[in-house]
Amino acid sequence: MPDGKENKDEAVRQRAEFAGLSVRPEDFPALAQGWALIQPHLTLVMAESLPPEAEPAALFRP
Amino acid sequence: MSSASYRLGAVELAGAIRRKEISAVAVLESVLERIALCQPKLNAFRVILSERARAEAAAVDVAIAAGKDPGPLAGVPYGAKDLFDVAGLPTAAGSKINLDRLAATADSVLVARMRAAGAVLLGVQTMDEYAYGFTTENAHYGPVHNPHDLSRSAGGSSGGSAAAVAAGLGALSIGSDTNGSIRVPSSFCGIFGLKPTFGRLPRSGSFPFVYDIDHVGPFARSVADLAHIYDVLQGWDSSDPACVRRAPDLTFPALATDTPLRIAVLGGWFEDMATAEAKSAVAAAADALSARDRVTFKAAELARSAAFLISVASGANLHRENLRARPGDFDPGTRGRFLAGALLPADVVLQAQRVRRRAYDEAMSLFEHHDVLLAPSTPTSAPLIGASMQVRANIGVLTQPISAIGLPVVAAPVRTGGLPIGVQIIAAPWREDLALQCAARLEAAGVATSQVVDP
Repeated sequence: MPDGKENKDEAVRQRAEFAGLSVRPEDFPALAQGWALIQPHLTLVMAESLPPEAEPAALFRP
Repeated sequence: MSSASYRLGAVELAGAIRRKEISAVAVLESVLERIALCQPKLNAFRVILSERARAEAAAVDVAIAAGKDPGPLAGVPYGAKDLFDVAGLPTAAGSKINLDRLAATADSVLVARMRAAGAVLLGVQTMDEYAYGFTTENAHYGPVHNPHDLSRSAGGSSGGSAAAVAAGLGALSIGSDTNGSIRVPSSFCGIFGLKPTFGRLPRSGSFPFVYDIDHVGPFARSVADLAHIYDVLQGWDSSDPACVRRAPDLTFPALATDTPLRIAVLGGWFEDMATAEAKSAVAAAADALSARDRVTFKAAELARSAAFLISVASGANLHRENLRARPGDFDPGTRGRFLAGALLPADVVLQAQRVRRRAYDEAMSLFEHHDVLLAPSTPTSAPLIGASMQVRANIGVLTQPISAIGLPVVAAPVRTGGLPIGVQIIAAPWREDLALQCAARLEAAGVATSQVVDP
């Protein structure tokens, strides 16, 4: 049975491939560090309950 | 006067040059000598453009001799962050990868406006790779050292631009600020910086990071100089889709106005995340301005997180091709975050954009009762070079909530102990004039000051 870390690494590898990136084995530590920096922000923002009327900020201006 | 003219500010220099008390060429030579002395210690410039600078300074002197108007920044030497196009150079943006791009065929709009105003470009200034950092510890070009203490960071990502102004390697510089890249280095280097309202100054001809949060703006050692350069830089440009079409609101003439300002200190997040020295700087500013009110921007933490996510996703998208083709050529400090950003689901980025809008709405309500809000620029004064990525990534904790919603901010340097630290003076959209007036009052009170530092 693969341990949790191997599962997680494989999930990251698959997602990277889906994004068109082939993450080299030597980049995994940097990727893991990058993800560790993102994770708390992702958790905080995704926990926020927003009403349907809350539109996104957007670049496009007609 | 000429040998020490590097110590003078932009308004003073331009006046002396226009009155023919000193030539633009003599001023330039004084600054080039200063650069020769300090650059090996600071690493503020990636490229020094002595030849171009000498030609521009000579042109100013010729114009004056011919009785022509040499422009409001006649002969004032300045530098530009390495992400502004400068004709004849590839725009590296702190990267190795971009050196493979063709040289820019024209100056960016802000550099062109500086040239038209008579300013003299000294060179392009060291920055974090692709503006993604707060300490300018660049793996390709080396770290920028803080002129107040060479073992410490100059801040980032416009670290070279701030260090240069602090040490007298030019009276002015121009940089960019997506998450704090003008305000953080201003804070660490003890100078003034202005991040204008999002959409105020055109980014045309500058290398992007996050399309809908990137701002450009100036650095200076006095409020008068800051307002003066800002006024020169204002004006719509059609090639930046985010630049708002509105007439310049000139700020320099109104700096000394004594119109009462309603000022409050931002509590909550901005106190919780600040150290004693940062809180002490804000308290000193609040005392000098008789600011007794305290308000809370409840969505600050969320706005900061939204900015973090939007930045990492936008950066990853911007650099996707190179992340695929040549990941090893990125600075290790940026590569991991960009790779991680490429894996973020669209749902997360949309949620972050919705959070950001809500934060903006809340912040607007604060300006119903106050004209200006005060907060620390950074949680601490300059850290030692070599801090961990965890520390480096969190230096913008107090600047990100504000740039995320595009508000104008003047970063004012305050010194309550050993090293300088900045105070953010935050105004409602398009009210840079109020933030600058407030900064001028702090300067007049002797609370926010900046002089040339000998590194």
